[in-house]
Formats: sequence, structure tokens, C-alpha cells
Amino acid sequence: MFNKPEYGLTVLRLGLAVVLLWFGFSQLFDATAWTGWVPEWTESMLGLSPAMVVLLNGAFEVTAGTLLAVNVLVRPVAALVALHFALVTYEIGFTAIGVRDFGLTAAALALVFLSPSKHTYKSSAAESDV
Amino acid sequence: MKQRTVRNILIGIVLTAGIGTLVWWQKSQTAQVPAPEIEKVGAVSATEVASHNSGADCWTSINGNVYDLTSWIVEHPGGEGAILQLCGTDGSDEFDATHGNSPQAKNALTNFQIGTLEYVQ
Repeated sequence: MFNKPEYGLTVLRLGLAVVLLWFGFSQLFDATAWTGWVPEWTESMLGLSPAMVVLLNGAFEVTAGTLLAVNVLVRPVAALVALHFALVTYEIGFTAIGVRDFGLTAAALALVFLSPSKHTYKSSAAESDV
Repeated sequence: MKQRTVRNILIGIVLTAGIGTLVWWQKSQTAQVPAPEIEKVGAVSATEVASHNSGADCWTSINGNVYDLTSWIVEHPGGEGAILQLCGTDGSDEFDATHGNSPQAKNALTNFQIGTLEYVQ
């Protein structure tokens, strides 16, 4: 009954999409509340204010979440998301939040490895449409 | 266009719009609660800090300063629990572990300072 890999892949994809959309929209609607999390090196290296970094990050997360939600470009988006979460995990460090974000990194990596090789909405009928 | 493709696109649009609406609504609810004026109290003992140990009245000491974080509980991006656990206690270790490398967080914290921690000899 539970041997449905395609369902598992869908759950993984939509679950990650929900996380990305939630935090992405939160950052877009209230950037100043998130500036405390912006690493200092972003200002010196990128020349961007913390609020701008938050807005750009929020836009990225909403875009990635939407693409995962509509099942488009799943593998490349998941790869970028995994890199993003890995960077966040590294910056936050070994705390409760860091450990949770490590789990999200692993989930995104799993999606990279499990996703079909073609654009999902164009996958052939022989492949599982997830 | 395949039926599954249409279904996926519809699910994606509903999910994106739904979560966006939910987050916007949540932000609008917290924005309606005005932040109370923070009263400065000067030197505060650890015993006094410990007496302000609830979500309705939340003081904490961090690195020698005392902060009233009551209004920050619902605003904290990392969740209410992270602030509630500090109420009435010294939150130096937790704050340094989570925000020690963030000058922005340290600057934001100054908005909530109400005094300094009084050390008893």
C-alpha cells in the first residue's frame, strides 16, 4: 500500500515548495525583520544593504518554490536550493535551526537525485509523472 | 497539454497564491498590534529579571544588558519559542550562539534595551 515512490517524490517536492514559499514571502513582506540573519560578508562582498539581501533572497525562494510547486525544472532548481540551504546551514552553525536547515539541504539533494532527467511536464508516458 | 501537466500547474498556482495570502494575512495581523513603549529602568538585578518570565511580560539579560522582549515574541522570524525560552533568564549563550556573528541582530537588540544587569558582589 505504501510502495508508491512517485507519491513520495511528489510529497518531497511539494513539501520543499511550501517551505520555500512560506519563508520567501515572509522575507518579501517584512524584510527588516530578517536583516538580523544576514551575514556580514554579504555587505562587504556584494555591496548590498541587509534589507536588499533579504529581498533578493526572498525573491529567489519564492521563484524556486513556485517552480517546484508547478513541477518545472525540478532537478536544477532543487540543486540550487540544496546549495542555498547548505550555505544557510554553514552560516547559522551547529544550532537547532542549523540542524533543521541541514535536514532541508538533505531533502533538496534527495530531490536532485530522485527527479526524472527530463523536464517533468514533458516526461514520457513511460516515466513516472511526479 | 497533458492533463497531468495542467493538474501540476494548477496545484502549483494554488499553492503559491495560497501560501502568499496566508503569510500576508499573518503579517497584517501582527502589524495591527502596536508595539508598546519600552520603559527604561536603569540597573536591574537578576532576581528582578527572573520575575518577568512569561510571554506577556518577558525580560532577559544578554551580555550585561537587560531587554524587554515582550513585543518581539510574535515578530521573531525564528519563532516565538526561541524568545519565550529566554524570558526571565540570562540569554547570553543562546543569543551569541545564534546571532553572535550578526552586527544587524546586535543593533536590532538595542531597540529593546531597558537597562543594565546589576551584579551583586
